[in-house]
Amino acid sequence: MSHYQYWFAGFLLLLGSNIQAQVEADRINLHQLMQFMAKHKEIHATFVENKYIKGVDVPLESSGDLMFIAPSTMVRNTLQPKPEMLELTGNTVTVERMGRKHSLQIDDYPEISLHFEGVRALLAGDVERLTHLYSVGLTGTLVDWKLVLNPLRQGTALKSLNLNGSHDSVKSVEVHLEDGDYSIMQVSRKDLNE
Amino acid sequence: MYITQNNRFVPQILWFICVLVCGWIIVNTDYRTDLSVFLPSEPNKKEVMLLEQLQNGAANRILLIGIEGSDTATLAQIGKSFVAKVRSNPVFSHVLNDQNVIDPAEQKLIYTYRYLLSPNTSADLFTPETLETAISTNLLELSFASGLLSKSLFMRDPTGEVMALVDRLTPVQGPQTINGQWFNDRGDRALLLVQLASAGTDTKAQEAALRLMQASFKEVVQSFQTQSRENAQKTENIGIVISGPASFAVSTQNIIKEEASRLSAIGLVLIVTILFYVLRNLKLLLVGLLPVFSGVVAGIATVSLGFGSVHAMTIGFGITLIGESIDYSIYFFLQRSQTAECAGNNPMFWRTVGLGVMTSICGFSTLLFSGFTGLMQLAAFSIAGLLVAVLCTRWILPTLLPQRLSIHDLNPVGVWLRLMMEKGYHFRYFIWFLTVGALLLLLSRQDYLWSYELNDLSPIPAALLDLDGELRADMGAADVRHMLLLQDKTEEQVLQRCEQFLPRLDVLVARGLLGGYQAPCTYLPSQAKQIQRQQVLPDQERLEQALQEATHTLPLSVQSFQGFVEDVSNSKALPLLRSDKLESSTFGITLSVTLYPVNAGGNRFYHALIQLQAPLQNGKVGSINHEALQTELLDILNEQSVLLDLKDDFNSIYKTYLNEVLKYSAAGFIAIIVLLLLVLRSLQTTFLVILPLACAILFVTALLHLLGSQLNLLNIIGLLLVFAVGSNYALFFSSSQSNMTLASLLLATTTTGIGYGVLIFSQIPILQTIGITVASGVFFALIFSALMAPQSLRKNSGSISQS
Repeated sequence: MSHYQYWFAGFLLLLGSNIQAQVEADRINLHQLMQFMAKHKEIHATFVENKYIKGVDVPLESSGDLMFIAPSTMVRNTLQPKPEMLELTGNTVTVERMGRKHSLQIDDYPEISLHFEGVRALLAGDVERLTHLYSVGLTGTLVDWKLVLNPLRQGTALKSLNLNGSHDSVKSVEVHLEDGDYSIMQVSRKDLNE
Repeated sequence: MYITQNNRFVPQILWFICVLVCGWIIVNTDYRTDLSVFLPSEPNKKEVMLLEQLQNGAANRILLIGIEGSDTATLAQIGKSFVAKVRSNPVFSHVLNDQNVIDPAEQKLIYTYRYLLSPNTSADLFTPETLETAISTNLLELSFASGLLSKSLFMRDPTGEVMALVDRLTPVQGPQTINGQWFNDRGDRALLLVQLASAGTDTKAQEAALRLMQASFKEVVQSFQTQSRENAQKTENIGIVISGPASFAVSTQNIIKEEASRLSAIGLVLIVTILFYVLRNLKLLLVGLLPVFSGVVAGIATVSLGFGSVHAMTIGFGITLIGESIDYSIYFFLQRSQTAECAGNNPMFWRTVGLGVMTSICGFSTLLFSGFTGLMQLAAFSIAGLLVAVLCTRWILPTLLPQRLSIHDLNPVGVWLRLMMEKGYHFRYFIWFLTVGALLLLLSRQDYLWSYELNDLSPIPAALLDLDGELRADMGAADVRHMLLLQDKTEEQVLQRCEQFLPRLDVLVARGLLGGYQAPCTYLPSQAKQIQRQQVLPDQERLEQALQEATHTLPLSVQSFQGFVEDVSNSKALPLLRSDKLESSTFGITLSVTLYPVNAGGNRFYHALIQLQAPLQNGKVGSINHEALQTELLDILNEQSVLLDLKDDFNSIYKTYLNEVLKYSAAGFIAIIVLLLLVLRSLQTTFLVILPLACAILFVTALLHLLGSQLNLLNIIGLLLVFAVGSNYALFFSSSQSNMTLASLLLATTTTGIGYGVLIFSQIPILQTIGITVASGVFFALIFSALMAPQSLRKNSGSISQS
């Protein structure tokens, strides 16, 4: 091996560590992320969701609109394949489908609420709520972060919520159940020009 | 002296024994408050069922509650603590404050019994084609937000029976929920629904329950206030409002009690002051009340003996009707005064009083033949009461008083009255004018004179009814007016009867004639229906085969539906759903309101109520076309299955009743004329007695109409009393009477006027009506009798003494 080769390898090593350092510098912490999120007033987005359910041979696709209004309102308006409107405001979930409206208190249904609360707490930048309900794992950088939320409550069907995002935008939400079923929701913001 | 003493005591002792006997009867009497007295003695089947529903319906046990006077968050907190406090109490069978979604116990019930409950259960549901359609449709619902959570339900219930049942069994609209507590639309009143455990007719238990609620509310508020000063400030003006039949009964009773004591105190003070001024003696006052007292006692005892029971209304109205007996004492006292022109037993005086009583009795007696229990009781009460009162005045009062009474000299009043009569004589043309005017008015407005609304008789103050309307609107619980009432011997039979109607009603809902319905057989299908449903469920092998075919084209395998196959075969062998299973759930409330046993005449049978909801028209709740429904359902309606419009049906019963009262009052009027003709033997004198009374009654009727009130049953009762009292005046005036008698007439009118006049200030509409009618009636009866008295008879002795 020539000197040149050593140098090159050394350069590569150096470069690598430099990149590593650069990446270290870009690594995001929860505090930063939540600060970004807390600036949201309103978010409008569309979504495409695929559910993978054991026994159903094909993924079940659905799509529609999403909306978040600080501090506590989240709306999922499913348009395809069947319309459904789900609104979470404060402690109340209202579901409207086929002309009938039902509302329930999330405190009475902790199991169900775990599916929605994580996303809402994140969008609202509410660290306390998030860490109260889930053990939180954040990896990645500001431009490509991954948040893994495992419910602290024992014995729920929910294994984890995995959220991917960039800056203050959530790009995808994955819901994983203990029995292996899962769903992946791709989110695209409609209001990024604001 | 000895003989006099003996003569004195015999009637007194007799009277005392009679009062004792009557007292014994009264104590042992069965008092009733039900509405059956409004019915003719041979009511039709529908009328009977209507009343049984009213008396036995569990709707009587439901209370609506509002908590108001603070901010939304505080109201929610207080509301929830209040519920937690009272829910465990056995006085309440249900306390609800946020029941929008079916609770876990009910979910389990629906889930377990879904194939026995669902109207979709048929052999057809389990064919490969139907299964394929159902599965592919419901698969799409997994794409909903909660899809991952509902997938296991989908695998066990691929035809969606559970969700369909939840939609079917829960009300469409309810109040909004804030922080787990029902609220009205503005969020300034927390709402609760309570069902009392005690029967609707047990007023005492209801009163205790209401008191308990008030006390619990106070405790909840107090413990909230002690938490912090801020809390205390927030709940400064907090209050609870309660509405519902039980609350109506109790508050009305309380208001009547309070008003009766307040108004009668005012009336009593005024009357006693006047009488005391005249009589100058407390003993006289008390003795003066004896005839009324004896009359009431005798009246109740007579009705009790004659009818086996006494209705509360009979006593109330009866006392009004024999109110004229207080006048007898007054006439009698003034006759006995030292200053009277002819003291002692004035035969002409007694004759006139006797004739007055006879006319009253004659008037009331026609009601005896009316065939309506209520009217017959009223007539019996009045006749017995008046007879005893006048006998008591004639035979008992003289034994209690000295021959000459030292009372205020009212001769000057009599002289003045005579003078006024002279002066006012020419005003009789004015009376003619008034009467003709009144007659024309009444004739031209005869279609608008009478109110056939039973509600006008309701003793419930308007403010309470308004509150009830508000709470009902808040709660989204419209007053149910249209319903199908079904009756049969057993619960099973009546449920089967109910099931007959459901497919027909579904058609009407689809056609938009109905908005929906609530029927007991949707919560609890008949045993026969449940068995029938169990029989059509396929066995495991057949279902698996059908699923195999159905899932052929679907992205699902038969194995996924193993739970479904299990559940169907379990349902096939499931013990049938019975009413006791539902009792503990909130479905139990609905069931107890719509399915209940009825005990009548020693027979026990069952009622099922199907409550009909009005269809939506342009987004608003429209109205139900009763005739159209009647036509649509004609072939399955019969004597034991009737379509009711509560408002119209009650009103039509009342209308019949009112018309009967009018008819028999008219007959009584004719009977009075015949009596007077027989006794007075003069067409002219009879005419002169009747005329002022007829004028006064026409005038008062027109006056009431002008004041904006439509006439109802109570006005007629009031006018009957005016006629009875007024006939005494007219008789006195038509014969020549002493100054003292004239004065006693004025005194009697004044006391009657005050006694009934104070009722005008009552909050209770029915008391007000009686008050206005009687007070103005007796006043005009006196004036008209005085002014229209024939001039020729004023100074000479009258025709009565001549005949």
